Amino acid sequence: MTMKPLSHPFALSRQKHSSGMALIITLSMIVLVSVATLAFFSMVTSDMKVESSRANRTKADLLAQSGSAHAMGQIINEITSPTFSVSTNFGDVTSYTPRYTTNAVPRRLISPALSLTDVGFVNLIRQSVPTADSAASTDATCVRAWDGRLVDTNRWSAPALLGTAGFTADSQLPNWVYVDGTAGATNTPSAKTIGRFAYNIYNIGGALNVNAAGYRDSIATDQMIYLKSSASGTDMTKLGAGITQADITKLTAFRNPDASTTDAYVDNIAGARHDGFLKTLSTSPESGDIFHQNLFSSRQDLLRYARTQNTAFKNITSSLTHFSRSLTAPNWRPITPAGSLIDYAAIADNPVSPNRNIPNVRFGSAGSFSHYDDSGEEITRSVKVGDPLIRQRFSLAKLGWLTPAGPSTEYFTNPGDGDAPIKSVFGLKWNVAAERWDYYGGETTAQSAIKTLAEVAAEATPREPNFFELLKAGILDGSVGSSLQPDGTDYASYYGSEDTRTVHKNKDLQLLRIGANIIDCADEDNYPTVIALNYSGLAMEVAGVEDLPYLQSVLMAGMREQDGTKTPVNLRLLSGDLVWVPVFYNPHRTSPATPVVGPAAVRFQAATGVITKVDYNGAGSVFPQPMTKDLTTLGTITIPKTAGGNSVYGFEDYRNAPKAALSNDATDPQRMDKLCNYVHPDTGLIVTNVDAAYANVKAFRIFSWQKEYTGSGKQTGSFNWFLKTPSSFLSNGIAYFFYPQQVNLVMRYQTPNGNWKTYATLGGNEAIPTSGMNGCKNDGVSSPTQTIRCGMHFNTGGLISHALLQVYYIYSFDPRTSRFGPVVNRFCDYGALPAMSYSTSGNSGAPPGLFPEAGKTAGIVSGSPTNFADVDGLIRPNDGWLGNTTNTIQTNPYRQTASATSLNVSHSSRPVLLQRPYQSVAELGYVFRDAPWKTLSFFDETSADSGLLDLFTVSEEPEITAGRYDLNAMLPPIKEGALSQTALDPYLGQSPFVPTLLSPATITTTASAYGSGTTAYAFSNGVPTSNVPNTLGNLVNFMSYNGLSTAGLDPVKFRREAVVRSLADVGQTRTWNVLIDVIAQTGTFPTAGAPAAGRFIVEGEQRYWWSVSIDRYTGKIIAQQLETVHE
Amino acid sequence: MNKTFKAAVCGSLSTLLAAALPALLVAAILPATLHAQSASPSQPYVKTPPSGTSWTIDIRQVPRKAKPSATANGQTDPATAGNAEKAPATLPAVMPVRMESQYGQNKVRRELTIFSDSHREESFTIKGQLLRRYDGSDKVAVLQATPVFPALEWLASGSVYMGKEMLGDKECHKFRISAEYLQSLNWPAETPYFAWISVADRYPVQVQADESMYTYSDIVPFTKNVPLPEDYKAAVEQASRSQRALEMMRAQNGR
Repeated sequence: MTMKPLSHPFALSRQKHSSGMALIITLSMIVLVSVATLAFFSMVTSDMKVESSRANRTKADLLAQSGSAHAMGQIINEITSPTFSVSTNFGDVTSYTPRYTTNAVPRRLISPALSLTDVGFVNLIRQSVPTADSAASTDATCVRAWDGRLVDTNRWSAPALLGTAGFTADSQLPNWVYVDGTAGATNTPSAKTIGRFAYNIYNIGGALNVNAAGYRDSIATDQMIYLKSSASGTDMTKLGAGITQADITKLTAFRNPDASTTDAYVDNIAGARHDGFLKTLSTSPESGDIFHQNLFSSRQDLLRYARTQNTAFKNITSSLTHFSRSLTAPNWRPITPAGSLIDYAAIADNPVSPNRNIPNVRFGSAGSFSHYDDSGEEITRSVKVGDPLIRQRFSLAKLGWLTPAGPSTEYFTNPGDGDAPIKSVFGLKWNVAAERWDYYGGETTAQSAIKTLAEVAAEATPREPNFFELLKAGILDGSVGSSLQPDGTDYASYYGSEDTRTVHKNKDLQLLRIGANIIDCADEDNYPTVIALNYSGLAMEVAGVEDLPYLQSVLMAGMREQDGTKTPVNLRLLSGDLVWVPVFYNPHRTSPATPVVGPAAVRFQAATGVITKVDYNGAGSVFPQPMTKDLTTLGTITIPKTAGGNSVYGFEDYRNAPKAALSNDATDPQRMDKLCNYVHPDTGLIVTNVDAAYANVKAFRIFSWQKEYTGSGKQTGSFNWFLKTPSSFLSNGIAYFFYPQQVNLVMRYQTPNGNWKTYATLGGNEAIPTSGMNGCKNDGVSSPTQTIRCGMHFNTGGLISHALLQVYYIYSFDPRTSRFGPVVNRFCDYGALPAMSYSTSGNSGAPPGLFPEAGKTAGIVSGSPTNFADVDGLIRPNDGWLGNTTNTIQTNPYRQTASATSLNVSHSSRPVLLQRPYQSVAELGYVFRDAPWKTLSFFDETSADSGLLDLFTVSEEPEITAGRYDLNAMLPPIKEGALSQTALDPYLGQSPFVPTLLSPATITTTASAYGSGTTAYAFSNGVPTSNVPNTLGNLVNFMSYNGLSTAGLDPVKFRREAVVRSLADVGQTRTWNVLIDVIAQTGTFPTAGAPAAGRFIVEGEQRYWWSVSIDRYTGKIIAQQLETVHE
Repeated sequence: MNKTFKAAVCGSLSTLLAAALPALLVAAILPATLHAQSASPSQPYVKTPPSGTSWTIDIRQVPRKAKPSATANGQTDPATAGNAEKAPATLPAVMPVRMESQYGQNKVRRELTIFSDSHREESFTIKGQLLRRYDGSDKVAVLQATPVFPALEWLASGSVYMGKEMLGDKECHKFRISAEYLQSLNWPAETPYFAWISVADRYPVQVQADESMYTYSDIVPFTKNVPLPEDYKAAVEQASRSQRALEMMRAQNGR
């Protein structure tokens, strides 16, 4: 196609009017001059107006800023007021602790025309109305000014932080605050008035930050577990009925343009989270990839996007913000659980208390120290006296630095590179020779104690508290070191000594073990982490819990044979073999990703122990044998990782039921048939004194009368001697007594270097032999005779005993710890061999079968699921306590049967080892607490571990982040979004991972119960209740709220804690985020007439949206953004 | 200085024992003169010898009852009493027959136990710990110390005072075991446990513990230190480290 050339218009004119050209030129010149003249005068006039306008705008600017500051002052005054805070001075720094829990939340002082319960106004917390601000006049902003200007409901609704209707009545609007040239802000207009302003303050802390929130579609369930650790995992479809996943994907596509796949998106979020969702370029700590992010830079940006790009968002803008910040410094302080003998709250500011009001723990010296980020990168920080000791939550990602062979070479390439970071962050130093970590704390030598925060803060050279010191700070002091009851009650079957209790009472040893358990729950290998405290040269080791067989009990049997050819009165005892049969059990749930790296074998042995005497006992000590027998010489019983060869069982076989080790090797000296035999006195034949079913059971023989007895009463036979049965045996039955001291029975694992290290014990700590078992008060024997009975019980036994039935056991309540024990019980076939017949009503006998469901009642009564009190007097429930004994709710692993002889190895009530990095701080709830059947508790108000939710985080966040929202803002949809897509069960490497999620009913009920309606946990009738969580730790108290009784929460602890897992990582309670919407007008009143709202002459106007983040505990603004509003 | 101590200064241990033993044997065989029942002495009934002393204990087996089936070494089996069947021969038992204690000036006590088969076992007591070798081993066990005088564990809390009685030339407080204590041990009620404690110095003179009779010598001075062999010292040091650790822990626990 050919284009026709465009004719020039002036060419035509030249052709038609060439004769009039001069005139035209002249006229044109006149016009030009006229225009120039006009323009000159016009410009002068215009410049005068511009200058006047500019001056007024500048004045309006200043006035608006002053108004904003005035409004902000209302908030800061609330924080600093002694009415609402308890102030503490640290040099030139003052902290403000909320006087009451309700003071942790900004007060809502709004127009009386507004109802506090109106869900459309939950974000509105303050207005310039006389009831809120003494400087506020009664003059409404909706009254037209002298020149007709007004600020009506539509204009005030512009921030779109209210319900969709916005302000609907003039009475709901703020009033003017007048600014007097001399008096400043005043509620009285006067001739001196130079301007006026009005404001609304919104709480935007509870809104979702669109720069962090939301996930794209097709996110895999295991990826979702990761995303749930930040606002990115919040389900935005819960924010409004019209929001679809497609809308949210559209948001992420706009915001995260480089993340075009789900994998990339998760990677992108990892980087963004690391940067606090504050940077436009983020580098993933996982892949190193760099992602660009289109961050919303203003609320108007956000509103414009919702209006033009993603219109579904228009209706949920009240739940969204572009700006919110929070300090990652924790603000936890303990509260005193009901019934506690220790008033934790009252002593939280006392330096002697390990559990402090965290914001008030301050450096006592100035200087600099090294902080290390998750990668081990060193960052030098300087502090001055009075600075907070804890500026960031401890990142659990650093746990990856520790391996069973020392510092991780993945993080620290060169030998020695990891020494300084690990010592600084964990207080640990790898001991090559001992293949363990020694605890150094901040010192240069191995230590015997973990310091309190006050002790750390008082050090001359400033440093950050380490991992263990934070554990000590966050776990209630009276909940660790529990031994026997505070009243000194002893139990008939207790099997230990004062030294045993001294070890159990040591709080730091328990904290150290909890720390080791935290490490081992998350590491990929199956080697227990061994850490030692050093007591004046004596190393006391503790080991973390791994997915290994543990020593569940030791069955004590007295195998014996009578001469059946004689009349009863002439019965002959042909043998007597006293044996111990260790029974092993791995209580953990089957993991689909059982680690490949781990011990090749474990073994049982006596680390220490001596027996000083044994005797027959049938109403009297008979045939006693004094001795000094070294139990460590009795051998070992080894369990290989994989069954095969001569070992019938491998590690996995001990998961489905407690059982003994079996050997196919007929020459194995530990087999029962090799241990229990005798030479018949009449025939000279060797007779095996054990039933065939038990022949291959591996055991220790403590004593053999026929082979070792040297005392009196030996009657000669043709080929061997025998014992004559005393008459008392016939009438009373018979048992064996033995007299042990310092017995530490241990499980050891084979280290990567082939050495054997202890990881579990039935006794005390082998480093102190006397902390082992030292006899007991056996049932039926009330005095401490230092004896243990073996063999079939009196009342059930005859003189013959060939089987491992109805015998005495030494056991711990939980195979993973000997705390509160070990104990002895009789006649309980809970896990001998062959496997006990399990039933859903529980296996026979007393603990440990029923102990997992021990609740909040005292005592330890055989057959009842009762419990122990901690040092602070509280009886904290065990993990299974929410179940019941009628089998309608199953929370006891011992009741979960797969068959008559096998337990259900994958039941949700069984303990779990994640063996992957923590993806929620509340996943610490999977960590064994070194108390029988107790993990770190986030499921009940008695929890002593709630502080960990605030002191720790899953990965390092910058000191200020945009990835969390305020739990104490009443926006139930946000909490619904957080709760939605939360898996009840942990991701353990399943493929595919198809978790059960919190149900919709649970989500809505829980969100509602937390903070909406007329009666809810945190808020009631629109104002905070005394329950309102002032720290993340208080989420555990919410778990006991009776309003949750209808939420359908799972009775299994680990599943129940899904609620806490969903909220703990995305929530914060320290930083207040507000948006101040201020409109300021400069002007005056006419000189004639009384000043009144309608007579104000507006000369300039300015509107700002000032987004501010304020630390509730210092009153300091930590971040702010002033946004000029273009209307 | 008490009478026993004075006597010890005058004669050697062997002389004293030679003199005392016949008298004790006589006392065991002949009916003693039981004094009129008097008020129970105050606790402790038995005094612990100070360091710098020594003593011996002779142990012999005494049949509880004379039975037709009594064995050559004096053993009796109640189950065979009255039975027509011939009892088989009884093998000799290896029993302790004598204990010799030297409590050195350095507060280390050495005890030598001599058995009926003539083998000997040595032990040391220091700071509440009993040290002796494990059976069949050179390794040293560190155990809870046993009372200085054996067979008297029941005396403090499980005894009944029977009054004064002359045992040889010594006036003694006589005690028997209480029925309650026997019951607590789940032992037969008739089990004979008696103790004769010197009124003069509160040292035991004789104890019958079921079928064992312990005869105590006078306590005599021992002016030397008892040397502790090196391997025992090492075991003590190891135990001391444990104790120090426990003390540190107790201090921590008490905070």
